[in-house]
Amino acid sequence: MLRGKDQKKEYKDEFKDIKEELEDLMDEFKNKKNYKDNMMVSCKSSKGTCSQGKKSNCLEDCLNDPAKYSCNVFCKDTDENCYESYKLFNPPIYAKAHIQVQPYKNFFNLDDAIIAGTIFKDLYDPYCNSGYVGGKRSYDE
Amino acid sequence: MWYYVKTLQHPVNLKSTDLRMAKLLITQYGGPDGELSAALRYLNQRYSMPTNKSKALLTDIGTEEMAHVEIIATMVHQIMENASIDEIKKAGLDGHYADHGKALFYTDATGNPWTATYIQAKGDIIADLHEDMNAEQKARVTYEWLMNLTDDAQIKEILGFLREREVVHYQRFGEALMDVQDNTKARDFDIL
Amino acid sequence: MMNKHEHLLEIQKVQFALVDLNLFLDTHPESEGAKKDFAALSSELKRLIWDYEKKYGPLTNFGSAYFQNPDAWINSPWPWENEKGGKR
Repeated sequence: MLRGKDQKKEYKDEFKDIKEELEDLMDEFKNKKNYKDNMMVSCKSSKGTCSQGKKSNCLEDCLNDPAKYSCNVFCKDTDENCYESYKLFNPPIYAKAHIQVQPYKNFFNLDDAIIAGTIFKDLYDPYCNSGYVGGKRSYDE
Repeated sequence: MWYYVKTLQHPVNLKSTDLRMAKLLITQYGGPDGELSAALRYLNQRYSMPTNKSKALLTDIGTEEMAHVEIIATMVHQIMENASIDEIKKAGLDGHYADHGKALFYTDATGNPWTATYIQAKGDIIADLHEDMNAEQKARVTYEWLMNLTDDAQIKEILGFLREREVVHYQRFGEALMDVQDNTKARDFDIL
Repeated sequence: MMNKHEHLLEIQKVQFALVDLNLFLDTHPESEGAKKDFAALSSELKRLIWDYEKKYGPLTNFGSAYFQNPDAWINSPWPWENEKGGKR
């Protein structure tokens, strides 16, 4: 299909509009980014950094002064960031799951495993309630 | 992607016609601590897991739980399929029968429909793995209560099998959690 | 020689052991013993399934079985149907 001269101009104008819209959006984005960057730059002030700029002192710093700026916000330079250092915090007392390590041994044979519900004898935990009249393998009937 | 294997994980050929028990077993089909909840919970959580081990574990356990859904469904179906209307009424299954006939449906033992409020995915590996361990314990207990409610040896054996699977799943989720706790700092995966 | 019921039961036993092993390997992928047994059992399962499907039709759908047989897929007994004490 041949494009007439008029149609070509139409496409050109449309393209120009879209291009302008895109540029506006880009500017908006840049402004927002600068805003965020500006906000985070404040971490670099002496108020915000961890003492001696060392991450390892953040725990002490924040335990001494939990209200400190860098203990509560996200810094652009993550090295200044005590808030992210909660990742390094390993409080000595907090709840943890503890599961016994299971060795790879002590197996049921295949005939017994499907009855027991596992191949591992170490994980076998039968519910021995009163009144159980089992002892048969249902699949043998 | 799933293929279907045309066999149950554990054989189920029930002689029992204990409809009262069928009504109770339904809770492990569509109830809060049942196999469907487990399957959907794990298969859903795996998408946002940050470690490959947990993706693998949730996929595999989730798939196994779907196989367990099938086992419960088979038990209920086999108990119900030859029931008479009188027997259905006597067992208190007339409500279910009015709504579903002898078909199965995802409800708990009193007919409350399955709901996504039974499960959760917080998008945090620590929280999600704890939820999974809790779910396995609740399922294990439910199987114990159900085993207390029947004397049928066949049913008890199958429930015992399913109960032991919950014990094993608890161990595996615990191992996955320990792996995260011991080898990484708690929130290293956060992408801020 | 196993009958159909016994053959399927053998498959169920091996298949179950493999599920349990797979879960173990998901949290212990470095376990040499488990890896060895997993590979060996997997071969055995495939052998059992191959023999079973040759006689009785596919155990899995979408063309993933060793032998295709749409009629058998549709009409062979479905897992939730009661064998009624089946040593058939």
